[in-house]
Amino acid sequence: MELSPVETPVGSVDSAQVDFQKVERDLDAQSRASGEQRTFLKHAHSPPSPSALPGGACSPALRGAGLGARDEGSVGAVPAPMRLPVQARPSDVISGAAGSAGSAGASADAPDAPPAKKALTKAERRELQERQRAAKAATAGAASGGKPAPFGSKQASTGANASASSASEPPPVPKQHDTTDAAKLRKQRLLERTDVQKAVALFAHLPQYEREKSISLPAQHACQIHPVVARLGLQYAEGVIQGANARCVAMLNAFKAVIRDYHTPPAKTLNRDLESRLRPQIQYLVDCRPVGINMGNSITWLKATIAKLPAHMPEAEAKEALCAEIDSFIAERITLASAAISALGASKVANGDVIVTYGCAHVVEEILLSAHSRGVSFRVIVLDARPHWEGRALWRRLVAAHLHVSYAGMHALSYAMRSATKVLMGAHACLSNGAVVSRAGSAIVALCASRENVPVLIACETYKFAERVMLDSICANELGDPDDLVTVRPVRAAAQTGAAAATSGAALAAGGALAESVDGGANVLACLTDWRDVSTLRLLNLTYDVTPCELVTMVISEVGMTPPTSVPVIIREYRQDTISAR
Amino acid sequence: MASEKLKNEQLSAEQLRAFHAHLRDEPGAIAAIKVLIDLIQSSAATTIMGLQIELQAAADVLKLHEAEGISIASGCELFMRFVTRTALDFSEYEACRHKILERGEFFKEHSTRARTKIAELGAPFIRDGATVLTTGFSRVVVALLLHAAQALKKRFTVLLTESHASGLGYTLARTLAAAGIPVTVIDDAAVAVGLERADLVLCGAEAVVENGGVISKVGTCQLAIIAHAYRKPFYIAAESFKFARHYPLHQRDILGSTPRGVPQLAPPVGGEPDAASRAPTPLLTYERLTRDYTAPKYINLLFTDLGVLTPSAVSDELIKLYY
Amino acid sequence: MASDAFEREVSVFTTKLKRRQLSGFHQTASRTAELMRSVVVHTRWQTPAKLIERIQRVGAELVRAAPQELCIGNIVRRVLHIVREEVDGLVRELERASASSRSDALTTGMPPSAFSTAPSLHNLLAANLHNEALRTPELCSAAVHEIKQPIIDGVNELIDELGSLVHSIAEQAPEHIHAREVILTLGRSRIVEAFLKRVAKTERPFEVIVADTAPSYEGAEVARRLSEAGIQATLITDAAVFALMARINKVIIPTHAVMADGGLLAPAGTLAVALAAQHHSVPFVVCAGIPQLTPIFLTDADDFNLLLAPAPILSYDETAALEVNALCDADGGADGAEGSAAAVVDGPARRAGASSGPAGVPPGIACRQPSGRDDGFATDSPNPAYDYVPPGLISLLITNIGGTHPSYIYRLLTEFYNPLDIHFGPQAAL
Repeated sequence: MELSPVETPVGSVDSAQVDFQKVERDLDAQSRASGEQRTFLKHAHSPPSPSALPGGACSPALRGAGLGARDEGSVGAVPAPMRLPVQARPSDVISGAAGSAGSAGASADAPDAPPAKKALTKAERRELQERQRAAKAATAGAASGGKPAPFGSKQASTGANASASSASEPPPVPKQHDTTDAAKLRKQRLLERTDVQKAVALFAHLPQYEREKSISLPAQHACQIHPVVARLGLQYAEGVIQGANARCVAMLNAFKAVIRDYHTPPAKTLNRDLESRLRPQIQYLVDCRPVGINMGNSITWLKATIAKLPAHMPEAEAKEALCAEIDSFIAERITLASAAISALGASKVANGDVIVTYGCAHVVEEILLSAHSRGVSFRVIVLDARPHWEGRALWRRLVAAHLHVSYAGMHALSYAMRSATKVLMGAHACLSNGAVVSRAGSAIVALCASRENVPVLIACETYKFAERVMLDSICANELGDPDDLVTVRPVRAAAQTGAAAATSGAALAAGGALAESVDGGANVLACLTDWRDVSTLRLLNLTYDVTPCELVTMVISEVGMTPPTSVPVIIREYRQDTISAR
Repeated sequence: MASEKLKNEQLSAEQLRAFHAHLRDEPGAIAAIKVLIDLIQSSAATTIMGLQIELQAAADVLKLHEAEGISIASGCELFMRFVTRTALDFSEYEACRHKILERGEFFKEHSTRARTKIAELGAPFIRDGATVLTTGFSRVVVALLLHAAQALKKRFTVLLTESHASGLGYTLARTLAAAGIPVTVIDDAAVAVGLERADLVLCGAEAVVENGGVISKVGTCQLAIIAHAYRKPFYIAAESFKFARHYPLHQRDILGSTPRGVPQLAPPVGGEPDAASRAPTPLLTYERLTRDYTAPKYINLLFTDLGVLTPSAVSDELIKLYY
Repeated sequence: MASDAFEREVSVFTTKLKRRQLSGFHQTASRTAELMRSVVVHTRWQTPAKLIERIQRVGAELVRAAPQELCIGNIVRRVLHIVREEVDGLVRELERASASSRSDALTTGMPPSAFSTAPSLHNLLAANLHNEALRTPELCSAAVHEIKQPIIDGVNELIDELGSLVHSIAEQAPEHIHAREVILTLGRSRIVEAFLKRVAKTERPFEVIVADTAPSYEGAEVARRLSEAGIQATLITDAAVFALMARINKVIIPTHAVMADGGLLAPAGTLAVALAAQHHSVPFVVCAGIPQLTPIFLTDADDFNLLLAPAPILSYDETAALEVNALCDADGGADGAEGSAAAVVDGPARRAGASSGPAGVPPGIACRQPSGRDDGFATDSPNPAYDYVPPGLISLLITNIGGTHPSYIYRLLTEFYNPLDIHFGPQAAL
């Protein structure tokens, strides 16, 4: 599911970034001196101003798979403000930075102390992590993986040791390679991330990191990462930008900024050197959060496009051409594709239909609204589930558009299915074996539907079609933050609600609508707050699941309505457009 | 065994006529039991053993009836079993004969009672606003539908297959429509299409076999399989005297079990105008299959006068009876 | 006086049931059984029919108070069955004693006395049961007195059975779970918890994956308690059940009730798990006490189902906010898009995002007007309490008297209930 970080970053100093690097080095020195890790927050040269957070800026975090990045659209072009993460999760993001808070302006107000609701033990654990990371940083020059961790709890010392480590303490192997590869892979990581402490044995092969107060980039890599990318990575890690399309568009826009700021070093050609400049950026993003299949496809496309540039094209021209290519990729493969899908899909919505959907997919919303605007009379049932409750945003928007919508939890699945005539869902990716990768829970919705003979329609742009195949949801998946399971509603939403409530009465309506009914303890599952202290208890927050081919009736993409078995056909036919997973 | 000689000896022409008269308005099992009771009344036997031999011979003749063979067989078997058990309780022949006749009189009305009971048990399974798909013409199913519509005041619609060969679907449709139930008749071949609209399938049966499967008018099996594929509940309404000690494994076991049920030539329908060209040839034969076997895995529940049974409970009843 | 106290007891119990202060199998079943014992003890009855009528009347009252608690009706049926058995035994004894052999000699070879016999193929020709179903044997009061104590003993046994039920089911656990198995469970039940903990006692290493069972999130508590008992427990969301089913060896779940066809009435969400188990050919095992077997067929998947308050899914605040928006939206609608921008939360947020700053996201995706402004919102949030799981999905049912296949439920039902009692009260069948 994630792009394999196979390439070792090559440090190539970019003249355009000299200033940036200087700032970085200064900061780095500071933080090392204080035994603290820097955060990228400090890269925010301008202090975040509270006024920079409009009421509406809260929504992207809530906006599940939809293009949350709409508000974030400026990511690529406006490198400076880091306001969103600061506001969204003040304590988590900032506290690590307190050591050099002087430059952080307003953010210095944020307490260094762990969030009030977190247990003391957790705070201690954080401290432990900090110390470990400090120890690692002290020997950062070597920066190779496989150093024994100071407290021996997280890092297996060698490959042999790693395989011997028990189920409760799985090796921090990021990939499904054997342990001899593990050290190598860890070396490829640019970021020093803390591997999750209580991994689930079955998923030990997947990278999973603790949610960290700060994500630090070792000094020797810092110079390679463009500030826009650095910011984006943080937003990925924090979940500020969610949804396949939003993440992909934001990434491409960030790459546009990288390309614009790129200058070909002497004695090198753009179409050879630029890719190596992008490589660490990609690796950094992967370290922040594993990239999706669609992002992998886009990256492959971008690399191919760069390679295809005429060797002797003037630099400025080439950069312009590349940016234009990226723009047209976004327009054609994402924007126009989704418009085409909504037109196609709406034609399948008939009068009297009861359409069940799960979670929140942008294309599904488009289809439903498009059908509604055509005057079709139908009913929608939005099913939703923990931990992100993405469907709620969809429900709210559909209600606002005056559709007849029901909103129910996953447990009402069979109840909803009895009246359903169609199931319409989005997808994270469509695979060559006809399987569909989608938000965890989609498979069970499709299963119930197929049992009731309700057709399952999957709406998916072709840039999410991938050549790879998957049989189950275990070999490749993404693991979410286990702490998300401790709360019933997302913490982030809670924080935002608090923020919204704190603002003036003028925003009352907005704040009210965003309210996730966080009511102190009721939101937290009390029996889980100290779950890390129970050695035999684990929480598993799976992000995706794989719906087998036989449960899918139809895939609606911009090229038409096809059976899921035709996904490889479409990939083959459109290969010149470089659709491929890897 | 079933020679003409024996037949003439055991059942008079008059008795056979009566049997066929019974068959017109009774299920085969009841008609057979009525004939057997009459036989006891007129029997000259003086011992239980003699009576049993006489009855067995008559039963063998009755079972040869081609259309209702299995049902008649199960009725006869049930009655013979009853005679045997009664004989165990009474040492005296006359007392025993008297008792059998007394119970027999009561039993003559049984099919009506059973139908009423089944209708009461099964009708609640028809929800308001439901669409019921049925095939063939079953008295029990009719009773059930009428009970649901008239006594329980349910509003539902019926989808009916035409039952092509016999045309009984049309008869049933008229009956139901006359009772105020909306009916739609569809082609036999359209069941898969019709089933998508239906909420449940309700069929009658000629016999309920040991494993809880049923033998019934041709078309039932395919309906059950389609209903299973569509996850629609498939219910059978059948009186308990149709329970037969019979365990078919294939469809061909059904044909084999009805000795006179040799497939007859179908009267050619449609096709070419020239009668001569429709004549059977070695390469062109016509066959009419009249009944099929539906395996228990396709049946959700059986509505019987013994209660609502799962297919697995049928075997239980039969074991209790014959063990 | 005793009867006054008894009436009060009944009304306290029914009130609690109506307010759903009492719920769940264990609480309601044992309270009902105790109440039934009081009925037998306190009622003055001259004939068994009187007693039966009284039990039926009280039973129907309890069932009316909480029709969804099917075990109440089951306990009442069990008690009725005990009464009928005792009366039958007495009648048989009397018949044998008065060797006069009441000319109706036919009954001797047959299961006697239509007082308790169900129709069967076996006696189809033998007796006209249908007419004399409730033929009350003429018993003298002395004889009636004789069976009172046995009936009370019978009910006491039933109460004991309820008490030891969890233990008897759990004791079978080692037969079903072997070392290194991965078990999936959901929902909270004393029975399944004891079952799994019993395996832990054997020191077999095994792992339990617990679905969190929204919207009650009881699964979280179960995971916690199992892990405290030393079992490797992993909590997942309900949504991840399909993904993990591929690695699970057995699904072991509790249920609300087992219906007459062997299907389950189980907490909402169970059907999806059962389907996932079937899809992956994973055995689906149900733990239930005999008093959870309900001799009623569901005529519709929503019989006995409840739609609960949507609060756990959707809080009042959210819908209230929606209405505020509706008003604002309606007001702003006249002024066009910008007028409504302040009110409709998501719409303007996106519009603002699209119009301000360089568009990271093209306008085609970002911007859309709500259309079709008919006033008022049409929305609801169903929160069903139960799922019906058809018997075909169930591999095994583990009861306190052993494991059975769902196809055998019909038989257990005839063993523990009298067919005459299936619909015992006027409105008992809902």
